[in-house]
Amino acid sequence: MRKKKTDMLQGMLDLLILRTLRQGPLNGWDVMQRIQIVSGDVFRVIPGSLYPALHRLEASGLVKAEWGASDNNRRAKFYKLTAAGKKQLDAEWETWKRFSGAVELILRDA
Amino acid sequence: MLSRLKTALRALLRRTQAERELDEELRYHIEQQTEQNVRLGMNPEEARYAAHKAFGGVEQAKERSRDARGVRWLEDIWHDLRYGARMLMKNPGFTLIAALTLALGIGANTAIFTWLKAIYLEPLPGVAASHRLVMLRSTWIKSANSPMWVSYPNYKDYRDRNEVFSGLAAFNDISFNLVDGKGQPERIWGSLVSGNYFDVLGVRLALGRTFTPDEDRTPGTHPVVVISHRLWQRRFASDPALIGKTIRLNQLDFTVIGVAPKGFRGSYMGLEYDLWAPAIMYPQVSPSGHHLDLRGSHHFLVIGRLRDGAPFEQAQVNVQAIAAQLAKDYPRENEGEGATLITLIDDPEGFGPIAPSLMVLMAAAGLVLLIACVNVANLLLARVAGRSREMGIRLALGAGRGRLVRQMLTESLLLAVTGGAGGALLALWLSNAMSLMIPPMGYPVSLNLAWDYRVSGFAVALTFLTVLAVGLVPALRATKVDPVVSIKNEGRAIGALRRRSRLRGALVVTQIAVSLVSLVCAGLFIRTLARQLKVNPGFDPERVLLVSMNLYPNGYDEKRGVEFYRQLLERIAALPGVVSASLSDKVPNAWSGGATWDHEIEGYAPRPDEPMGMVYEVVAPRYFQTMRIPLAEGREFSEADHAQSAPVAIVNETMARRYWPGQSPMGKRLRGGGGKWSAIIGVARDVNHLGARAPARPFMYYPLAQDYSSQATLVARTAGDPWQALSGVRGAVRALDATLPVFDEKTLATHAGIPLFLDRIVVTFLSAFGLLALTLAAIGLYGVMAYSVIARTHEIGIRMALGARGLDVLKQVLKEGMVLALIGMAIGLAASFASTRLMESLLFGVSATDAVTFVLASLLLAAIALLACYLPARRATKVDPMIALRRN
Repeated sequence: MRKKKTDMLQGMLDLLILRTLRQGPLNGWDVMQRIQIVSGDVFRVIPGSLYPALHRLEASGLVKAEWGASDNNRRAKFYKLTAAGKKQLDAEWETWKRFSGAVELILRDA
Repeated sequence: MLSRLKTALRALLRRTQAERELDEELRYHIEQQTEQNVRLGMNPEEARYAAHKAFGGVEQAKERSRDARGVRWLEDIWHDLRYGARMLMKNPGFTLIAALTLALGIGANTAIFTWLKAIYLEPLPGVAASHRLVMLRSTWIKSANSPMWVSYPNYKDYRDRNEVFSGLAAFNDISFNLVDGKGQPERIWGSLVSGNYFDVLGVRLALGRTFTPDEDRTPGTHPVVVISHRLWQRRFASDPALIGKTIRLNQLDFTVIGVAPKGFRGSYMGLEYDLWAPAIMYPQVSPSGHHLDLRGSHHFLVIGRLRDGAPFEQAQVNVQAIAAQLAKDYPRENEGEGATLITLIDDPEGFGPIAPSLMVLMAAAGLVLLIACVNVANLLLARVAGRSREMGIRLALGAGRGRLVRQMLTESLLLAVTGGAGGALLALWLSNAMSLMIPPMGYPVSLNLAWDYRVSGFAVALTFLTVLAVGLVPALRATKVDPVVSIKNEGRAIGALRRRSRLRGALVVTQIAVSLVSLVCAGLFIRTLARQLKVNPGFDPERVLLVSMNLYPNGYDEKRGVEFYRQLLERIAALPGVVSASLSDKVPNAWSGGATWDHEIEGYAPRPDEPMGMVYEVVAPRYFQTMRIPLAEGREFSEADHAQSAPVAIVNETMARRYWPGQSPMGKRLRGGGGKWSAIIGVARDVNHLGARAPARPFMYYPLAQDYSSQATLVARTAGDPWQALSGVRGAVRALDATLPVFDEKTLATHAGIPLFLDRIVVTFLSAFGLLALTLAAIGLYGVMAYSVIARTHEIGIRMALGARGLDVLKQVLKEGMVLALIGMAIGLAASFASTRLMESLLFGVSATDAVTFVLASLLLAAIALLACYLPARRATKVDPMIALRRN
């Protein structure tokens, strides 16, 4: 039971990260900021969950990591979407659209 | 998931760098958050503190990141290994006993496997596809169709007429005297072989060439020889220029044309030869050489390679048909002669005889390993029970059960691997020791006990099975714990305890049963050996030296040979410390029971199928006196019996009873096929050369001066240690002929012990196994009772507080333990009764249900069991009720 819940949350987080990286390579801090801003402060990703997710995505080959210079000229690890990652993103997006559409239908059916 | 593995491995290898990077990455994030907080108005310390809090647990994040990296399982295994090693170090006593017992079990099994491999998988080392090789034996109606050797002319016909062999080769064994400029003269064993020998066996020479067709045709031409690798190394220093040079064998110069590959030792199973010369040289190298062209002389063994696709039965039919045809073509020599094919394993001159004993040994070794595993598992179980609380906590905190099981299995893995390594060393030592136990038998006995991949594979597989056997049950048991119950109730979890006790009790009962069976088997064999040793061999084996020599290769004819023997005996008898001396053509033993010679007995008409082949020995004067064989009638040979005097013979009592029942055979006559009539001048008491098991057989003696043998064994009875006389004997031989080698120096006691060699080995090992099993069972019983006492300290404290005396507690614990022991013994007795029946054929003078053995084994077991229970029982009486009641 416990596992299933984390699976779903994990899936959503992966989707958000992949989508955020579509624009271009970002480091962890940037990803967190971007998700917070774009979602209008609804989603505040906890760093303790974000970094494991990023590493997992890297291990699966969906993103590639590179060390580079940040805006304020500090060394940071940047994540970039790979071709496989792009494909996965599209697939997950489709799944999400279907899922949220179905939930919508049921909720509306009053 | 290849990329996953790659990332994991890369991550593992650059672990420190990865750690640093992770640290840096997260620190960057916190720096950024801190700066943002400062911009929002916090002071630097608050900002940093808030940044950390907002992060949500840096260490956990690191952990989960590491997890996500997928490297976790490798690190876990490494961690398990170190943890397991530490746990084992904490209990050095247990670890030592456990590892040692596993080592003994694995080692013994591996050693015996080496022997089984040599016998079944590689009976002829260096030979290609030995499973396609078969022995072709002649059979004879008159000797009950038992397998015999083949004559060379018959062999050639089989070779040329058969349709089922891709090749058929012949070989025999010949003793050579090697004399060359360097080194002492040496006796070397070799084979005379047909030209296609190496081809049929599929052996490629290391150096040089094999025989050409010319070298297989005309007798007497082409003195060429192939030598063995080890002879080449030992005597000729691996000189590659040896090819083409000559060596002097039996007074003839032989050209060395090739060197056999390393490890090849000939085609006689269990023996190792060093020379191979063409069969056509037979007349030149052996006194029996003229038999080469005699169709009636069975002087060769024949080995053949079945054609691909030719089934064994078809081949059998084919050779029998050829035999029948030969019997028609050559009625004089081949009448009644057939042929049969025998596989290498089943051949009576192969390993067939040892196989049953080896199987017994293997079974015993397997039993020991079983006990060892059960014991170690038992001890692990006992330890594990004390950690149920720890397990409960870890399970509650979220550790997967698989993870915990893996950790426990790692400990067993460490134990088993240590045991396996120790066992491998032990196996090496054991198989060497076993070969050393083979007494010198006059033949170049040697077994191919080299350690190869098959033996390693066996040892590794055994170790792996041991890990599972030992560790799986405790690991599963340990983790099948309800976390809540165990945390609350450790020390008083009655229900779980009862269940586990029953399992442990069952384990101990099994061990006790198994050790009783081992002890009974060992006891039966000990009594068998003792019975055999008690049997009077018919002569006095103490303080007699045997030294052998072969005159023929040095060119002695009969006249010179007889003179040599006479002079030699004069010199030997004159040596200080020698009481009396004589000669024999060979002192019989289990391996050379004796050639037989068809005899005709005056006035006795044998039945048509009655075998009249007699075993005989050719001896010099004073033989019976030297060997201390009593004469029932008449006299022994003397110098008066020589080539010009009347032919005489001596028979033994069994022969006298058989052919002259109710009367004295003195003066009666007999003759060996085609010889002169000999008169019987004495009757000797039966001598038991083949061991107590063999039935008495008719035996006769001829005088050496009348029945010259070029090979003889000196028999010298000494006043003191027989070995002291050896240098004197060698000196006497050297004084008469400096180029004559002597060999097979040994005492008569060793020689007479040869038939018992196998029994001795079995007794040694079974006894060792039995005692080992007993020790393990005792340790197991002790462990169970000790744990039971500790777990029930609370209960014992209550009883003592309520007035029970120490003695009562002692009796109670003893009773508990002995009940286990008695159940085990009962099962063991039943199992013994059932299984010893299988060994009946190997016993002598002792029944398979010998009461004395069973009773003694049971008593020994009971005594040890009592001791094993007494120690924990005594500890129980020392329980202080106050302390026990306070413990929870």
